[in-house]
Parts: sequence; structure tokens; C-alpha cells
Amino acid sequence: MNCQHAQKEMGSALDRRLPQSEQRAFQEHILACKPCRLEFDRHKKLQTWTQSLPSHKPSSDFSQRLFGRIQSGEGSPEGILLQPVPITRKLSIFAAGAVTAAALMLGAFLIQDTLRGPRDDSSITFLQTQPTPTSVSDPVRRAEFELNNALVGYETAQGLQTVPDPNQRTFDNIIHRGKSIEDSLSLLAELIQAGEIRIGLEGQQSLEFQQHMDRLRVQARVMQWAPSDWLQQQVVERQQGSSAVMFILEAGGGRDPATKTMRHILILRGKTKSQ
Amino acid sequence: MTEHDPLLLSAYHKAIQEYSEPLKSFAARMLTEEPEYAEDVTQDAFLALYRHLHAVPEHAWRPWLFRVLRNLCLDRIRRWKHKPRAFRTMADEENRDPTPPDLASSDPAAQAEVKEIHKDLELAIAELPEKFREVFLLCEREGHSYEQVASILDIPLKTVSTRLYRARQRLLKSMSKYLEVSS
Repeated sequence: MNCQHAQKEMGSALDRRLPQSEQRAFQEHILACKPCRLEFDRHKKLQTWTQSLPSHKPSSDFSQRLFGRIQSGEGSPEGILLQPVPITRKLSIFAAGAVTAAALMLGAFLIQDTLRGPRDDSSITFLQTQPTPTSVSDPVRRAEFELNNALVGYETAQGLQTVPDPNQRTFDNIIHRGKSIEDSLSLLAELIQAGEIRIGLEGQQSLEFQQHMDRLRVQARVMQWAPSDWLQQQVVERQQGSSAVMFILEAGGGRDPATKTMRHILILRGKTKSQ
Repeated sequence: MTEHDPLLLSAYHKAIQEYSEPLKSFAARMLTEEPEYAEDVTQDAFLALYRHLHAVPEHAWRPWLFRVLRNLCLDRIRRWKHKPRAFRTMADEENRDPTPPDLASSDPAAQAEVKEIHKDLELAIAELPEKFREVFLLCEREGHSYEQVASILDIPLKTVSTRLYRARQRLLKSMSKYLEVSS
């Protein structure tokens, strides 16, 4: 082994990643070559110092606080629902193409339809299986239906495992990356312009939505979405009948490893008690 | 609170005991501008793991936690960079001070020297570009293999060794005054 080779392999030798014969050749070289030996010593010193750097010990109540957070749900900064970004602004931004740098998430969050007969109101559940819409005349359901179709189309085109029935989507498989959200958003924009849906969520629904957001926030972090952007959200509610609530979440910082684009789509569904 | 199998929960508790310190240390050195958030993001990572206990195999918890933590750190760094300067909370010097080192030498002069070396090394590491810093810390400080780091950071193996090499070169340069003396 010559000096050039030894210099090149110094890091690997330091980390003992060289094949045995090369490691031996390296050792023999530095024993015979003072400049290389000194250089190797410098590397070793740096490594030793780094490994001896002090640790940052967690606080004594680390576990206690962690389990407190687990039990109460992921904490969010207060007021994330207090300053919603107007949906028209979001959509105009979207239309302008600015969202190529952001991830958009669209969720459908179904609530009790007081006009549609009794349901089990004993508990609040999210992502619970709902009957497949028999009609797509309902504008909100239609938007959701369109969205799911787009999602299935994307999954099929990408060769991904797909869930054709939107009612069968579960929390673990609801996160997808795709580009087909535009159609659904356009439809949503039309619905807003036509006055079919309005913005707003109040009282208990707001609280539940907040808790739900907290869970999503954890998921978003895992999926590399930026929580800061993720805190921006918009709730869109049907004006009449109140059979469904849809919300649009905007997130940024996500990265699709396949396409390097920044878009994500999320469908959520569930129901809650009637007010 | 999601119910988990008692054995799984026990393993989770053990993971907290075992990994929280290296995770927090990594976070503190990644969050050079806001090291006071190191514990928060470490908790976030454990929280995320709890939500995915059934999805992440137990043997993969450690690299998974580091991967999530690294993402959380990068997210916080991004947010800090986009924060208006006036709103940036400068960390107290107290917050920046890690746990005092357990110096092997009883010689006060030697202890002082090591402390000074550590201080300058921390600064030099903090000045590394993030992509070099994370590889260096994961390999050199936290003892991950190149393969594990490649997996955690989702980069090719070759990139790991290249970044590690460059990080070392920069640090050798930054620490040259100590290295020349001690050589």
C-alpha cells in the first residue's frame, strides 16, 4: 500500500471497514510511514474526542411527561383553529400553482346527519366504516367520491396497493402521495362558489377536530410533513343538512421519494355525535 | 390511549430508558440554534413510535427513532430559518451547556484542557453543514454503521462515506490547533 492509497482508505481503516487483508496492509503502511501515521493519529484523536463528548441526559420526568402526552393526545399549540386561512385564498394559491411547493391534504370527516335517522351516538369515532354512498348527488359526498376515484386511479397507475372502497380505508393506509387532487379541489371550489358548502366548525366539534388533528400531527411528522404548515387548516361544512364536514389541510415539507414532488393526499372519515 | 400488549409496552419502556439519552444528544447537536427543544423533539419521536408500535418491528426501533428524530430536527431547523429574526428566541447559554463531561482524569489541568477541546469540538460540529453533521454524529458519536446511517437518512452508502469523509476533513481543520500540539 502506498501513501495515496492509505490516505484514501484512512476513514475506512479508522472505522474498520476494510477487508482483513487491506486492513493489515494499511497497518503495515502506517507503521512504516510517519506522515500517514501522524495523519491516522489525528483521525483517531478526533474520533476519541467525539466519542467522549458529554451526553445530553433527558430530564428526570421525561417518561412521565411522555406518557402524559400519550394519554392526553399530542399537544398542539393553542389557537390552531382560531386563525383559519380563508379557503378561497388557499384555492387561489393552488390555482396559481404555488402549491407545487406544498403538500395538500384533503380529509373528509363525516358527522351525524340529523336528518337521516338514528345512529349509534354512544361514542365518537374517527375513520369508522361508513356506508358506501348509494348516490353521488350529494355535493359533499360527490366531492369525496371523486377524490377517492382519483386516488384509486393514481394508486392503480402507480402499481400501488389500492383500496377501492373508500369505506375500507383505515388510518394506516389513508396516506398516499398523488397528483390527482386537483380535480377534487376544483370540484370543491365550485361547490363553495355555488354556496353549497360553507366554512366553520364550532363547539364540541371543534374540540374533537382539535384532538383529531393532534393525532394527525404525529402521523404527519412521521411522514415528514412540516408541522408548522400542517397547523394551517380549513374546515368546510355543508350549509344545509349538515351531513358531512370536510376539511382541507395544508402541509409542507413532505417529499415524495419517487417523484421528489411535495404533494400528499389524505382521506379521513368518521362520525361524531350530533350537537 | 391506545392499548398495547404488556410485553410490547415493557419493551417500549426499556427503549425509552435506553435510547432517550443518545436521541436527545443527537437532537441537541442538530438543533444548534435551539438546543432547548432537543427534549421536546425526542419526546415527539417516542410519541410517534408509540403510535406505530405495531407497525415498527422491535429490532428496528432505534434506527426508526433516529430517522423520525432527524426529520423532526430538520423540520424545526427549517422553521427556525423562516422565523423572522426578531422572533427567534436565542437559547440561554445555560441551555447550550450539556451535561458536564465525566472526565477520566483527576488532574484539574487535564480536565480543563479536555473541557476546552470538547467546547471547541462542539462548536466545530455545530458549524458543519447539516448533511455532514448528521452523518458524522450518527456514525461517530452514536455508533451507527454506515448501512444503518444510509437507512436512517435514506441516502446511498457511498454518500454516507463521502459525507463522513468531508465532515472529518473539516473537523480536522477546525481542531488543528489541538491536533498539532498533541501530535
